[in-house]
Amino acid sequence: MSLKPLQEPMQTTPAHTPVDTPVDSAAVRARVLEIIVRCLDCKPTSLSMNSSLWGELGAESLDMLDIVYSLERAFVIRLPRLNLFQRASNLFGAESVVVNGVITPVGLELMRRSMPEVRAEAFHPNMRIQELRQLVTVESFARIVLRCLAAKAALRCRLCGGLPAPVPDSPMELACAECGGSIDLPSGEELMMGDLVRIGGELGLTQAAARESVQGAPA
Amino acid sequence: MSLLNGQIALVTGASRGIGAAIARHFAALGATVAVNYRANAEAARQTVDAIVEAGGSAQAFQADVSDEAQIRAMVAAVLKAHGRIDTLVVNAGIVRDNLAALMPVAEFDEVLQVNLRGAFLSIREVIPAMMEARSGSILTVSSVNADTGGRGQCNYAASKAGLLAITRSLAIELAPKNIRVNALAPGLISTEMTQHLRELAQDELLRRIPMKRFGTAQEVAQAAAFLVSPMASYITGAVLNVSGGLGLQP
Repeated sequence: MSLKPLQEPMQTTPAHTPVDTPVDSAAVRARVLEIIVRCLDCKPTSLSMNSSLWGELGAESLDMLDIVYSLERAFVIRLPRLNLFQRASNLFGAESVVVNGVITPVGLELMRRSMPEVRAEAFHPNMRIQELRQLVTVESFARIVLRCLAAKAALRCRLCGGLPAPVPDSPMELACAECGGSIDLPSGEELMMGDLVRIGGELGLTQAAARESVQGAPA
Repeated sequence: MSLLNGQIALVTGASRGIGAAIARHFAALGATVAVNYRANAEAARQTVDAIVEAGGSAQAFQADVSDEAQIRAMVAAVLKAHGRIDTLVVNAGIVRDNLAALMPVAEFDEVLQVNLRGAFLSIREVIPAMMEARSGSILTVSSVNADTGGRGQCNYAASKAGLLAITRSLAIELAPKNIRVNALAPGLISTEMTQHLRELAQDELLRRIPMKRFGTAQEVAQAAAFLVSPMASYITGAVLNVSGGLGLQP
């Protein structure tokens, strides 16, 4: 498998040529690995898909942001900014997922199902929030990138149903190959939110906003 | 080779005063300059024309720096036009001088909105591109008033002191990615912004300046060019006074 140089734009498709190629997950993983090597300025041999970024590789929050920016530009996607647990806490209410810094059993199950790349036993009882980030691996980023790429592959123009195409000289924009109408990239935040809502629903979690409106309703 | 040869520089508030002088000087040193302006398109055009007539390269970009959406669109437009931003000069600023007891909240807020919030928004927007390039220089234009304070300038001095805090914080934050963040602290510079003050109390003001003269926008621009250039490659988090010694003595 050959990889493109990092500085080269990912999409070299001519202007307004539809983007309809199936996602090659092996190539995506390899490129994610390559980008993370660059962002963390480490040797490729020191990194595998299962390497923990915070733990083994000593990544800091700025490195995480760097990785997110680099992946977004390389793959032309919009990744989520908030971490998964923070989003879950906002969505279902902190008290549902954490008590005194310890993740609740349902919170743990929510995280386990949301991070399928992590082995199940890593989510141990009485796990503290700070421990969660140790579980973030190169594969975690690959999973999120693949999720966003899949959503992008399904994009169609709202006006005419046409396929999206890159906008010349504007690498983070898409336009309809048929009618030229602007097409928004799928929001990583919304994708993450949608997945959490679905998994939370399966676990019987109620969204905090919905709970508040019920509590606030007149008797 | 010129000091800033090949650099892409975005200068906010570059239609007049210190910002225009920085834009012209950077272009003279080989940079391609994105000249930001808020409302005075004619002044921005004059800055661009002066640069182009002198053989330089520049383009005007309209945006109110205190408006998140406008800043985002402007930075995207600069990146679209030039592919990268090597240098950002956070210069856009306003004054609304008044004694604190008489100062409407709106005047206090307005100065902080432009001078401080605008700086934050501008910097935040260029970080991804600079981070990806593993290189960048951000220069904020503060003021000696950040340290000394100034009668009738509680809003302005607070904004400029805040700017120094932003500068130092981001210097620490962005250093691992080879992005340098420094500040200039001009003293009394002969520009339109200080004209009223200079006319009102010239002798008193000159008495406070050890060098006994007002500075020029060109002198500020020269210091700016040094700080963003490779000559200052190991300087970050620094505040360079360009003040003729103003503020050194009580």
